[in-house]
Amino acid sequence: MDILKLDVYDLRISYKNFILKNISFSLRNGDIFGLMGRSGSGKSTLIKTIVGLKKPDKGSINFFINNIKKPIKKYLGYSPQENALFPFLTLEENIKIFGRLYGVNKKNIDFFSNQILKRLELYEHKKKKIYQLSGGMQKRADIAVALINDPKILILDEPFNGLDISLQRFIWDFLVELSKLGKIIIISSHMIKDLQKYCTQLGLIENGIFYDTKTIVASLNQYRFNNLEDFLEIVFTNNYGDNI
Amino acid sequence: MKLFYLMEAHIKSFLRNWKNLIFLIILPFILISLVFLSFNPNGLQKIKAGFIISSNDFLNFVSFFNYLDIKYYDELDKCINELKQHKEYVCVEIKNYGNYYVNIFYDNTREPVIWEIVERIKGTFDFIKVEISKKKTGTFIENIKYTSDKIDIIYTKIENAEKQINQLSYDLDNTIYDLKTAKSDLQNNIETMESDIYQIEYEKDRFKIEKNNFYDTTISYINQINDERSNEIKNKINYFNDYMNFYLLKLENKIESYKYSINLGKSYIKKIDNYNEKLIETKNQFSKYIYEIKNIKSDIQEFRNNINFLKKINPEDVSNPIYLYNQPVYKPEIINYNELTEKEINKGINMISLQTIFPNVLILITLFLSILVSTFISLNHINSEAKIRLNLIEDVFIHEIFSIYLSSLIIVIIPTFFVLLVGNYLFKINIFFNFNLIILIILFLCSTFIFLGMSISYIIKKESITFLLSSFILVFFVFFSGFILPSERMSTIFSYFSSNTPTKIALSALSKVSFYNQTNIIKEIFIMIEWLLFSFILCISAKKIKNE
Repeated sequence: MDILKLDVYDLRISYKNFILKNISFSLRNGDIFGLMGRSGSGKSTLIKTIVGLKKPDKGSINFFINNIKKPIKKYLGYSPQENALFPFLTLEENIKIFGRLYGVNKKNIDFFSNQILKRLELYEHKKKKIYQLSGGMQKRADIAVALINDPKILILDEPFNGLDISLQRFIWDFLVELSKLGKIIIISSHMIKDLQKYCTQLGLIENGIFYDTKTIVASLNQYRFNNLEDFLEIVFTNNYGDNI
Repeated sequence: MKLFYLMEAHIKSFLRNWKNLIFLIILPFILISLVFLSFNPNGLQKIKAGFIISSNDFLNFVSFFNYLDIKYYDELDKCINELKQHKEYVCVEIKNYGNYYVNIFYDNTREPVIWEIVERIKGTFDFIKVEISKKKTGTFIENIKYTSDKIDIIYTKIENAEKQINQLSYDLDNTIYDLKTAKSDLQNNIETMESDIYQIEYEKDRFKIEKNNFYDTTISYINQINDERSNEIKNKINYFNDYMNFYLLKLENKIESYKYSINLGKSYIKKIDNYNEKLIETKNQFSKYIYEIKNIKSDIQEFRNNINFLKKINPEDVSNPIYLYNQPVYKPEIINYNELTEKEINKGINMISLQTIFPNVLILITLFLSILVSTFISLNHINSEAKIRLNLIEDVFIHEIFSIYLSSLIIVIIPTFFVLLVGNYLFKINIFFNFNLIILIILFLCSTFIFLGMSISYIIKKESITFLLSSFILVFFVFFSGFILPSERMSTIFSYFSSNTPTKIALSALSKVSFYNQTNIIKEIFIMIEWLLFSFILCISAKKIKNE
């Protein structure tokens, strides 16, 4: 297994009329990084910056494989907040087209797609067009496509929106499985409990400031909270961000 | 390879959306079919026209206007009123003041069809005009023929008179010659006689002198002798002398008588001279008459020649001195005029007009489809859910542009090819003869408008505004391509621009290639390449600036 390392250092991102700053964290093989924050806090903006869809004002994002710096885009699997698939194409066609666009050869596409689709319980639906799939299936299909290039880093932007608990569990199990394979996973979500449960690292964006795992844990300890969700509920409700 | 996968996604996305299929494939097909079905192969429909005829004579000619649905009015104003209410296209007022005076009142707000109607009515009147002129000229030429025959008779009579005068003149010449000969003979005889008389008189005088000398001498001798015998001799001599004197007197009388005859002869010669002079004068008079007759004959001959020229004139040549035939240079190959009936010929002529509008229809369809399809596919791509994932793929900028372009091109080419097939098999235009060039022209035109449609989409992004702007662009190019207002009617600058729009250039190139098999369209291709480059650069710039 390759040794992976993702270093995000001192990022400053301006977007519309707000600024995200002091964003630094470092992820390694098997890490699941849970990104939290209120709606509109800038989680998706940070994710877009990491995947390269947006340029930061300052700071750096470096990805290393076996301590050799690599372009992150090439090793990235990304599932945005909304499904990013061609709705009038079948799941199989989406996988094939994106696979080829990512530079995966036909043989590997067939191999990976079979594996992933079976694992995500979509194999029987691969001939269906995306718009014909249910919401849960579409999300899984999107994740399947994000995985077609066998990425080292998988980034999911609020993948659980609109999904029932069983499906959420199914995806979490799958993500954990992937992390065990050594992949770095970044996930943004409002499911704080799940994030606390499954993530190895956390990040919180509040009032444009990024708080890393260490700070969050310190705050939980300081205010004697065991439950992250309760803590954030109070923080978000009373605007106690400055107290973190 | 990325290009083909993106194209696959675009084309499949397009074709699997039934709305796209209906609005951008099936409806255009229906529209194209309706456009072609809408053309009447028999030409213009029966056009409503009002006739105000002041003379019933003209009713004989009304049958020539069989393409009009004629309604008769007793007043012009009533017809004009109907025209203003769009119940009539034209009002034709015909007055007869010896000649016909025709006023065609037409609704000039109904361009361009009104020009076709007016031209056709004008053509019919031209035909009627020729018919009337032919009839009148025919009667005139008949009269000329009758006059010419009369002149021929007169000419023959004059010729006969000339012959008779010539004969008389000849006879006169003979008479003058005879008289001259007679006079000459007479004069010679008189001169001989005069000479003889003179000789005789001379001899007579000598004889008389000799005789008198002899007598005197003899008498004197005898007197000297003076005897009896001498008296007797003297008597005898006297007697002889008297006798001689008597004979001399007789001779002198004869000589006088001859002299009288000579003088008489001379007076005859004078008379002959007088008669001769008179005859010569008469002959000169004859010559003068003959000369005048010859002049008259020459004048009559000239007149006859002129009349003969008039006789040979075809009444149609006089009534219609200029034969104006509008000869269309392009004639459909399917028409073999010799084997066609009149109805089929008319149909053939209408086929020409249908064929000539085919490039316009083709260009319009290509223009609409190119802009609309490219706009649609571009917007689909730009606003696609998959776009965010596509943005992560490296070095896909140019692939995206060309995938949209090629996908649009494939989708546009299908109905365009259908239109070309219609042109080939229904309109009988030999599309496949220069198929490569025709496809090249279509390709340039499609590509230009596809890139233009893509540019608009990249700049605007929002569907409703993009389609609105596309519609404006379409209207702009339809207007500036001479479909509504001919370029020739525009002001200089706009006319120049209009003449160089890609649609106008493509139209010109298509007509050249499909109708005249002219393969030298380098100028058109060059201008189309310029437009293509312009729209391509605009597209790339728009995508780059808008970071799409």
